[in-house]
Amino acid sequence: MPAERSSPSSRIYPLLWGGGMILGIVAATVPGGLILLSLLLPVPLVGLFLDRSPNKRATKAALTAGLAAGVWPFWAFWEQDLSVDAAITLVRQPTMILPCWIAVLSGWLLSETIHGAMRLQMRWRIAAERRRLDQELAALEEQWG
Amino acid sequence: MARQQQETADGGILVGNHHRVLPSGASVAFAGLDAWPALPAVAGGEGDGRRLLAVRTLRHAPPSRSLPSFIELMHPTLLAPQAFGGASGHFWVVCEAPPGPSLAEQLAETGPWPEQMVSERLLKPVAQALQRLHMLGLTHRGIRLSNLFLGENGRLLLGPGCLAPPAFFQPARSESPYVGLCDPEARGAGIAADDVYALGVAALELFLGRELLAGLDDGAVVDRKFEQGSLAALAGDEALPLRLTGLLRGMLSHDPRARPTVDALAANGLQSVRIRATRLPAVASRPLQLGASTIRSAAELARHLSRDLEVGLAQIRHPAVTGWIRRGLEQPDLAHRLDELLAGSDARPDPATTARLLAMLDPLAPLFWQKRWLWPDALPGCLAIATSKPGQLAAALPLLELLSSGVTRSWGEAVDRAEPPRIEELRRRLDDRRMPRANADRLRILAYLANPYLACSSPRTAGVHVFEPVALLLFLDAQEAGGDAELLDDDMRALLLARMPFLMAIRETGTVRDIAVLAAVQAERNQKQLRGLAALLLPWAHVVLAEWPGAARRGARQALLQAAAEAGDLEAMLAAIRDETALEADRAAQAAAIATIAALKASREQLGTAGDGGPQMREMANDLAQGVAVLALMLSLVMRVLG
Repeated sequence: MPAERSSPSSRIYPLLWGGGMILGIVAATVPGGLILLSLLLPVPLVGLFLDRSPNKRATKAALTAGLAAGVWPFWAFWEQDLSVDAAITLVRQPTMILPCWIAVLSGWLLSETIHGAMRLQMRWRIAAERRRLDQELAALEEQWG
Repeated sequence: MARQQQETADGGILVGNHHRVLPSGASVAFAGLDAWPALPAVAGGEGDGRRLLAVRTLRHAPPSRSLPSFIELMHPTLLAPQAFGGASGHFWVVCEAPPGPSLAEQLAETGPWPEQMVSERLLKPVAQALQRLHMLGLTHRGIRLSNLFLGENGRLLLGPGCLAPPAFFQPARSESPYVGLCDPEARGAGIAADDVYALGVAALELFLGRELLAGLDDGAVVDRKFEQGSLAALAGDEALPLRLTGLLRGMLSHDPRARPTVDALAANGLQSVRIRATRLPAVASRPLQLGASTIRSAAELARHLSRDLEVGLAQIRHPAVTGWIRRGLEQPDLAHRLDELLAGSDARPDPATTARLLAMLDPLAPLFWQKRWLWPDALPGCLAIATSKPGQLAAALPLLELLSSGVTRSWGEAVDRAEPPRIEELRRRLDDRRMPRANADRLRILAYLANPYLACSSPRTAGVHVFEPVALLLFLDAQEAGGDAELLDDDMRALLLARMPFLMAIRETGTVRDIAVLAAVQAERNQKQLRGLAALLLPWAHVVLAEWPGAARRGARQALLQAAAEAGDLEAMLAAIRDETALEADRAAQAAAIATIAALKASREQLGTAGDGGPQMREMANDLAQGVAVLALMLSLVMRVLG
């Protein structure tokens, strides 16, 4: 019996549920973290809903990029005892939050750029191959046509 | 014997390499044809004092194939041909010239010859000459006063009879009515007794000192001979000596078996000629009235049928006719055989049955075939005349049917005359499976096969007498290229196939066949460097090569063809356009190339549908971006940990 293929919505639900559970735990134990996340997460979440691809790979890459930038605010939040004041202080500093958003966008942009570059390269290769085939065909048809 | 066409420096024509003729002067009539004085080709060379005449033969009525047998036939009474050949657009036969006008022209001066003079000066010497001919299996078929000449010391000389189809120029009075029934070309070489009949007429004319039956046309002469018997018709009311009457009655008998032999005539002349008694044809005391015709004998009934076949065949089925044969003619056997033949045939019998019917009624008559009387050995002459006339080919198809049906053989068996070997050979050639299937082509080939000196009837050779393959090659070699609808026309092709039957084995068609035929003739007859003909063939060969697969390979072959054409080598030209091994290889290469082209086109189509790489490419790009992001995450962590 063939394995049932999971639909995109069925694959997103565990992510959502997992995210919701983490958020709940964070809100219960570290309320300041919730403040940080409430500012950091909207951009990736918007990306998640806009990404219509089955595996949401572009969004994952953007999230990972955002996470790489988020190391700094969360590290600072950790060092300031995870307090709500620390969280408020951090979110009031654009140099902490803005790079995260930029990183998310950069991750998405990187994904699109790589795709575009690959497409360009492929088109160039096809054009070269077509030229070669045309030349070969012209020679054959001249000889045997 | 060389038969090349050459012209001498003084504008004369070289005939047979050893004789020269200047046809610009006045011609003389000789043996029924125009003739001009001829000289030895080299002044002072091989001249033996004899005066010579070059006779120009008729294009449509060429000499028979036995002409070479007459060459240098040494006999004091014969003016034999010395040489022959095609030259300056005609076929010439060089003969010893007669010493003066013919006996026909001198008859008014010489007056009647005495009986003894007829015997000693005409019968004996001419019979001796005929002995010589008959010994060689030849007949003369040209004995008439206009072909007899008085030489030195009153010696008689007989002109040639072989310069046209046998008996072609013979007036009806000089031939048996059974020969006179036929058209001039349908008389055939005949048998020795036919010469005896003509000699008898000449003897009677000399004895009486006048041309007999003058003013009557041939049909009237024949009718009168049938009505009265030849001797009575010719002599009329003239009183003849008893001995001469007896001799001439035999010589002019309608039954060849009743005529004296030339041996007897040569030995004894007028005297001691024993006449063989023959059974006279049955004549009915009570004639049969059929329409306006009064029939007294079976032979008359046969001729009556031949005049209006449709009506006659209907009449003969009437019981009154067979009853008349049975009781009036007292020939119940003949009536019985006729009944049997007619009972087994349709209301309108086929030509073979009609021929058998007429042969039964008159076994002495020639073969009756499709409204025409002819002797089977005259088929070559009939074919020559029929195929030489433009647009007459369809009318000649009965001749083809006659030969292929085997009627000549069955007719011969019915009238106790063996089928001439030449006709049998022609039928064998006709049955050759290599012969073309089209009747018109078969007829043409047959005509050239039967007549070795028949000129090509092609309109393109209208001004020349081309009768040999080499002559045709040389004629074509002198032609300008272009303008013709086909390389060789049907007549040219037929001439070549007839003269060189091995060419029939060439299986190609169209232009390649023509080039193959010409190349084979060039090789066979060792004719090198025919540059004019090669130039003529070149455009045709290029058309053939245009179908050769592969531009480069075709180009290489075209170069080969060009080089061969410049060398005038037809075989090399043929090899350039007909190389089966190379053609097969190049066709295989072409097939492979076509397959490659199809594959390449399919590949190109696939490239067109490749598009932008599809979802796989996007996933790959995303994975790559993900990897970079993970790397950045790790780097970020490491940097933060390290401070």
